[in-house]
Amino acid sequence: MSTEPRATRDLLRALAADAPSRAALVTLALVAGAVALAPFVAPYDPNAMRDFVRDQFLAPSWSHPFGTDSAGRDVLSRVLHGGRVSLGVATLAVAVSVLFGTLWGAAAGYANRAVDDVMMRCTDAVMALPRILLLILVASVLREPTAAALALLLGVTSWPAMSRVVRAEVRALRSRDYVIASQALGATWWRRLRTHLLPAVLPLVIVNATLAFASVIPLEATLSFLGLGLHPPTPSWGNILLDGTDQVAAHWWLVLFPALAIVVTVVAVTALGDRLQQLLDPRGAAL
Amino acid sequence: MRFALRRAGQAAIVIVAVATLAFVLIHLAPGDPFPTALDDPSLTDAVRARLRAQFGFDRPLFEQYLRFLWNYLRGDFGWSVARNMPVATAIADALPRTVLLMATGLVAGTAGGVALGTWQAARRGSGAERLVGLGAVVVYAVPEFLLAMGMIALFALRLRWFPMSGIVDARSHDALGAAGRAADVLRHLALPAATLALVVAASVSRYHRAAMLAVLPEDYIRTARAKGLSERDVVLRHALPNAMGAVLALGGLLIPALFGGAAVIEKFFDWPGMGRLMFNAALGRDYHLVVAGVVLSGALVAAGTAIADVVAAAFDPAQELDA
Amino acid sequence: MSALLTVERLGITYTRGGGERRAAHDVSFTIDAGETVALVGESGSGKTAIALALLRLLPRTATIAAESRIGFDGADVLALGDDAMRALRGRRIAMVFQEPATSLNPRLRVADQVAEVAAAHGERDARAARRLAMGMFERVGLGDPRMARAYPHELSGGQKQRVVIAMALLLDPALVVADEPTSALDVTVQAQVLEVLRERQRANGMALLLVTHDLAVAATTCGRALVMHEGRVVEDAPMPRLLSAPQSVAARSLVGALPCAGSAA
Repeated sequence: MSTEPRATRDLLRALAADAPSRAALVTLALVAGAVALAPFVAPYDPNAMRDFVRDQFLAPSWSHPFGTDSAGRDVLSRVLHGGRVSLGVATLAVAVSVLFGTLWGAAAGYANRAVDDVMMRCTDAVMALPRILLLILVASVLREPTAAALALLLGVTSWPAMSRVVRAEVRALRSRDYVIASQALGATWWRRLRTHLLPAVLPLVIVNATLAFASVIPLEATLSFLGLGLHPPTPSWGNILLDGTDQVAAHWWLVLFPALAIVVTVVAVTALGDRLQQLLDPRGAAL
Repeated sequence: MRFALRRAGQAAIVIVAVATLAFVLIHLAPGDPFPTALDDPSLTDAVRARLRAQFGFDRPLFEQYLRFLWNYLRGDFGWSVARNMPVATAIADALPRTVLLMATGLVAGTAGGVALGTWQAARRGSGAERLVGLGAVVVYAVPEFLLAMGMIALFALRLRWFPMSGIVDARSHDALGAAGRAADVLRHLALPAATLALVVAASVSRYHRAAMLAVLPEDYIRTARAKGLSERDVVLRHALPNAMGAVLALGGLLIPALFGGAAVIEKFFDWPGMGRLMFNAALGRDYHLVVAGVVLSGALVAAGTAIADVVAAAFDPAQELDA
Repeated sequence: MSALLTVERLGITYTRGGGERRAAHDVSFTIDAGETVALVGESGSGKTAIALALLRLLPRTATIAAESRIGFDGADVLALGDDAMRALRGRRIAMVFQEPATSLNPRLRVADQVAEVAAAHGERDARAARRLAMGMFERVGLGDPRMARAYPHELSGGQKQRVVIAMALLLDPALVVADEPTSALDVTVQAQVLEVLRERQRANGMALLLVTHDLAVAATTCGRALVMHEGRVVEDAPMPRLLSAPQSVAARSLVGALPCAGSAA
């Protein structure tokens, strides 16, 4: 039995009911807030390179709580602005994969056997390509992708998982009694899709989107770190780390703070996603 | 058996689709990439002529596609401009090393992940379990390159137990006997494989814990307890095998991510496998190599998932293998 | 002769979400060795909770009231340690569950699952355990040699339930608790499975506690009935008297619902 989507209020209340989820929600709110308000909260312009020699690699202090990087830029500001970029990319990527994946999966689930098979083989093919390698392939062609391009890329490589889940659910629901009953009552396929199938699929999509969000953030960081994603001066949690890797012990702040940002955000989102799964998808169909 | 054949057929189709995708992507790029490779002055005229003929750059796209597929079927993956050798040769060296790394990491990681997931499900709700669970999520959240950095910092630099990079000790390796050489490789394998195993274990334990928690409330578990079986027997003999079935099926989803993780780890530990090859190829615009790597990885993934499905079905008495 | 099973002031509460639900209130009864007792009542009357409590198989969400006592053959069941409880389960008290389809592990052969009972209670020799299982299969009407290698999905509902009965009876327990053993089966199969239960009970002389919502099933198998309603025992009478002169409201409606009221087996 798939659950009916709870009203948002009930859902939030249920989420807030247990301590780990509360902590996760609060953490995420803080991160999102800090990152969204970055232009107002950040003490410096993230790209402002001041005196190159004097301000290079300063350890954390009152004037620079997170220290400075190789170009004398304030790391705290870069982490804040980098969060806008990294999380923005992740959001866009997930949006793309949700949109495309849901449509594709619903269509495949509703279509006849032959069409469904073809659509699913395509999905399998995209899934079979390890995302990093695919991204390497494309990045080697594109050289310096913009944030939007990167987000699009990440989204396009993430939709197969979503479409599989949606298709499975649509397939299962098609033969449910209440759907057949509505067909007998004369409802068009579009109405059936909208009224019965999509609401039932929504919980799965929410859970999957949340967990996908959690998995895209490290992916973007990895790519940017390896020089295949966003390049400086655009700050991203991944490429801030780059500066510190030559002398990690000496420049520990360049590694610690972006890493903390990534880990804290991903752990919070994952914890939230797990809890959402308990509430919305106890069967684990969205895995 | 028929199921296996059908699954193999599906895998073959997927592989072809992967190759097609790679081909399409490369040609979607602004300007045709291959001529750019041809313009590289380091190529001799003979090689250039051969490439041109082989890939038929002046021919219609569809014909290029067919040539591409045909070449791949024959094992000809093109020419690596950066390394000045056929792609197939470059890959032939790197592939076994990647397989070694991945196999070790996969086996260790799966074993660890299953053990951890089982323990978590059995001790559910206890303080220790919550702590360990949090630890697992943190490891899951940390990008692989950070894990790799951490492992290097701790085990290679601070403790000096294992070497930092490479596959062999360049200076002493050739002087060692067979056993010494094997040990040398193993020493170098330890950290990258351990890092990969950590990554795998974090994911597997999440899946497996969920699968165990889904199995434990089932009726036949209650029957097992009613028979007077010890809790250990209930978990290991009844719950675990049934949960593993679900994990094997989901394992197929894990394999592509495993490849990606392995690639990053190879780059970081300078392990001379496919991943490092691909990274360098991408940065050096060595397109033939990149395409070949992508297609090969896709093929391995398709094969891997097909095998996982067949194994899962073989161990499930209720599955009709000859359907 | 002291009773085999003594239940005193048994109270069971389920906690779910934020709320509590009292499944059993102050339930007391005894069962003597060799007695056949039916625990009858409508769905939700608390019968299954009581059955599970006897083997301490209640889920984590259930709590047993502090003043409850369950005595079995001199031992205080609720106070036993885990090891002692496990020694009891399957050996001295056994259970037959309602859903044959899900009560068996789909990945193990049925013969192995039955033999496992012997192994769990000390039989080291695997072959001896299997022989014991096959012997039991014969006695419950599963004598076909193909049973030795069969998996649960290859069997019908009735056959699966016979396997579960074989599992329960293997070590000759003093008390068998059967929770709705026939509710999930077709009517004709129901009669067969009940006959198996009755026959084994007569042959072994074990006590039987049959939990059911179907008074007709209880009437044909048991000599005494405990009628439950909303978590309490409202009537405790020998079967003939219950059928002819039910005292409580719950009993009367159960008797009234019988197809041929008054004609007990």
